Amino acid sequence: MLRKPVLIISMIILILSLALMGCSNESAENKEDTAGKSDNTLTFAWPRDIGELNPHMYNPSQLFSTSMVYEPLVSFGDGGELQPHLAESWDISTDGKEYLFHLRQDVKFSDGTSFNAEIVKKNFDAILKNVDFHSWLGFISKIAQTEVIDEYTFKLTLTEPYYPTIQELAVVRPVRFLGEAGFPQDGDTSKGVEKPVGTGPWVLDEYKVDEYAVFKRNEDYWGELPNVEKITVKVIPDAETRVLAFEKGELDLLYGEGVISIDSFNQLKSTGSYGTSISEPVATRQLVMNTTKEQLSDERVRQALHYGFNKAALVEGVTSGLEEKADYILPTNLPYTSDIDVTTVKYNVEKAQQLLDEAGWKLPKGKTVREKDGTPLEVELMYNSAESIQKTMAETLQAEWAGIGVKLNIVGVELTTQVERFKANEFEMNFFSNYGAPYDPHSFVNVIATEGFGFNEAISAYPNKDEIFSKIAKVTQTTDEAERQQLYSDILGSLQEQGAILPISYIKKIAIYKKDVSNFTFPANRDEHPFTGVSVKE
Amino acid sequence: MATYVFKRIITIVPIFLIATFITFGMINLSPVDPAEAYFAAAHIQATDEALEQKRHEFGLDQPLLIQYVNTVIKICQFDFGISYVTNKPVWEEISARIPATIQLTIGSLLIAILVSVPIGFFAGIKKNSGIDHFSRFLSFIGASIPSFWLGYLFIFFFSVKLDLFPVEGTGTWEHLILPSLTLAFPLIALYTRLLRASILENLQESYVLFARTRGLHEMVIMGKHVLRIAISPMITGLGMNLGNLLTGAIIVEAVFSWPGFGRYFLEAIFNRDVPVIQAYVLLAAGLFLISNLIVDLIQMYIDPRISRKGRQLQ
Repeated sequence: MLRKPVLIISMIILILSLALMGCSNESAENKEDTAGKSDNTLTFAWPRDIGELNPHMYNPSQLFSTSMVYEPLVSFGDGGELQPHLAESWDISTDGKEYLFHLRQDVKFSDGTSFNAEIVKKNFDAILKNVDFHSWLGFISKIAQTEVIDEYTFKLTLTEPYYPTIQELAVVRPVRFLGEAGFPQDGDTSKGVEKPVGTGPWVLDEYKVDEYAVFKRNEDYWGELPNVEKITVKVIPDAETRVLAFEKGELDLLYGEGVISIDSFNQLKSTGSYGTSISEPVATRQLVMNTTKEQLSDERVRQALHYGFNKAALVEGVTSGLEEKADYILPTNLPYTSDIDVTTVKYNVEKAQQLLDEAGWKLPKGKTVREKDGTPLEVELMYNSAESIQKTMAETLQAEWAGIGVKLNIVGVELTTQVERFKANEFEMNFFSNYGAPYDPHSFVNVIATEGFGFNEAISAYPNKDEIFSKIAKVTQTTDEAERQQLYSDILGSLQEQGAILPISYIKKIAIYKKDVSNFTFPANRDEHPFTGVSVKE
Repeated sequence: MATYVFKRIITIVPIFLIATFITFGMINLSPVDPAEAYFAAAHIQATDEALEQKRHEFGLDQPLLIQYVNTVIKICQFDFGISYVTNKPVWEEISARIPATIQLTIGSLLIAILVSVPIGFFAGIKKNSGIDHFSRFLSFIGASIPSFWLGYLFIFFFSVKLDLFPVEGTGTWEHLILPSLTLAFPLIALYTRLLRASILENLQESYVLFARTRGLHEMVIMGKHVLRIAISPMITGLGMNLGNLLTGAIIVEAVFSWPGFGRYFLEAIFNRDVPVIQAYVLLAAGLFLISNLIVDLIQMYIDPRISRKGRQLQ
C-alpha cells in the first residue's frame, strides 16, 4: 500500500510528459514563422484576431484587415478629397438621386476573375438583404434600385437625394467587393463567406485563428504595388505584451489608437532607437452636457464650466502630447468643418465665477460648493472605466471645477452601459467622440438629430433646437455645394456656441516602428490599413 | 465501490442543473444588452431596427423562462448555441481552442510537480535549514504575486533582457516554458507547503521512531517511508487544482497571447457573447465536479478506509 502514492505521482508525470509531447508535435510545423524574418516582411501586432474577412459584416472581422483585401468604389483621400478607386468616375443626376459609376476595366480579383458591374450589383444585393442591419449607414436605407447598365457601368438609384453617398462608399464595410468565389450558395453573406477573394493589394496567405495571419502582396494588383512583400499580423491581446514583443524585436511596427499606453509610447520614444509618428486629428473627444438636467439647462452654467478648467494643461498632462487641445467639436480636417465661426473659449476662472454668480449659483459663506435655493451645484460625469484617458480627465475636471465651487461626481461604467445610458438620456455629463473620416460630418449631425441616440434629448434646452434639426434634415439632401457649406457652418457653430457639446481634445493615432521601416504614413480614412507605402530595409 | 461511484455520478446531475441556472440568472441580471454590445464592439451607432433584428436573431425577444428551458435542452444535446460575435457554433470555437489550454495546463502541472516535490521534501526533513527558508520565501512570493505581473516580469527578464525565450506565440517548446512557469508558480507555492507540512507531521509518527531504532539509514527512512505517505495530500491537491489551473489560464493566456480558450472566454466577456460565457462556466463547473470525483476515487484506491467509512455510516 505504501508504494501507491509515489507510483501514482510517477505515473502522473509520465502521462503528462507523453501528453505534452503529443501536443507539441502537432504544432511543430509552424517554426518557419519566426525564421522567415529577414525577407521583405513587415511584422505587426493587433489586439484581436483578424476575423473571417467578411466585407459585408462587422464582428469579428477587423477593419484594417478587411481594407487590405477589399476595396471601395471611391476612396477618401487627404483633406477629405473623394478620389476614384474601383470606379474611374461617376455622374450624379441633377436631382441627386441617380448615380452612374464607370468602373475601372483593368481590375481583377485575386482569383483571376474580372471585376465588373455584375459583381458590383451582386455585392450590393447581398448587402441589401440585411438593409435594417446596415441602416446606420445613411445611404443604404435610401437605395431604391441597383442596375447593371453595361459590363463596366453600374447605376445606383436612391429614393431621395443624399449627398454623402459618395463619401459613404469609401467606408470599409459593408460596401466593399467580394469576388464570385467568396459568395456562399444562397448568396447571403451575412452568415459568412466561402473564402476571402478581393481586388485589394493584399491576399491572405496563411492564417491561424488567435495566433497570426500572413498577407502576401497581390502581384497582379491594378494599382500601386506595395513595397513590402508580406505583412505578418500577430495577434497579441495584451498591450504590455505588445510593447515587450516590440522591444524584443519580434515586431516591426505598432500602430493604431490606444494600442499601447501613453507611458509605453513615450518610454519607447525616449530611447531614440525607434521611429515614431503621430497622426492628424482623427476625431474630437467631447464632453456632452445634458441640458434636460436642471443645473445644466442654463447656458451660463455650461459656459462657466468651459471657462473653468485649463484645457491645454489638462490635455497635455493626461495625454503627454499624444492628443491636442481641441477648439472645435469636429476636427477641422474633415469636409465642411474648416469654416466654423465660434468664439473659442480661453481658460478664465474669474469669468467662470462671474457666469455662475449671474446664473444664481452663489457660494455660501464657509462652504466650498455653490448653491441656489439651497440646492448644491452638483454634476455627475460618466466615463468608460476601461479607458484610462477618460478616467484621468474626469478626475482632473473634478479637481479643476472644485476650484470654481462645482462638485463633480465621477462614475466609471462599462462601454455598453455608457452607450445605453447616453441613449436613454440617463446621464448628466458624458464623454463622446465623433466617428471621424469618412463618416463625418454628416454621421455626427445625423446622430444629433435622430431621436433615441442621446444628443437629440441632451440638447433639449437649446432654444433653436428645432431649427438645428431642420437644417440637419436639409443638409444631406441639398445638391447645392455652397448651401451645404453654409448649413454645416450654422449647425456646427450653433451646437458648439451654446455649450452643451464641449470639445476637449483631438484624438490621434500613433505609430512606432523600427529604424529600418520607412515611409510610414497614416491613411486619411480612419479605418483603412497603413501598409501601401511602407518599406522595410533588408 | 461500484454503487459508491454510481451515487457520486448521480449527484453531479442536480449540481450541474443548479450551475446552469445560476449562470443563466447571472448573465440576465447584467444590465447590458448583447445586441447593443455587438454594435458597440464594432463602433457602430446602431439604429433601433438593427438592434431589433439582432435581438430576434439571438432569441432575446422571448420570455426568460423559455430562453432558459431552450438553453438547457440544447446543452443536454451538447449544443451550446451559436456565438453572437463569430456566428459559428460555440462548441466548434471552444473545442478548437481546448488543446492549447490543455497543453499549457499539462506543462505547468509538470513543472509544479518537478519543482515542488524535491523542495517540499528537503524543506520538510531539514526544518529551518537554508532550503526550508528558501521554500518559505518561494511560497510567500508564489501566493502573493498576481500571475499577470509575474508573467510580465518573466517576459522582461527571460525574453527581452536575456533573450532566452520568445515573448509570445506557440509552436516550439520554448514558447511553452514561460507561460507554464507563470501558471505553475502559485501551485509550486501551495504544493511545497503542503508536502513540507505533511512530512513534518509524519516525522512525529511512531513508525519513524521505530525505523530509526531498527538502525535504518536516515535517507532510507525519509525517501522510502515518509515521502510515500506524506505525498498523499499533494495528490488530493493536484486534483482539486485542475479546475483552478484552467481558470488561472485565463490571465496567463491573455498575457502570453496563448491561443487557448481562457483568452477566448475573456474576449467573450467584453463582447457579451452570452453563449460562450455560458458554455465556459458550465465546462469549468463540469471539470471541477469530475476532477473531484477522480481525486476521491484515487484516494479510495490509496486508502480503502475512506470507502469503508462511507459504508459504515450507512
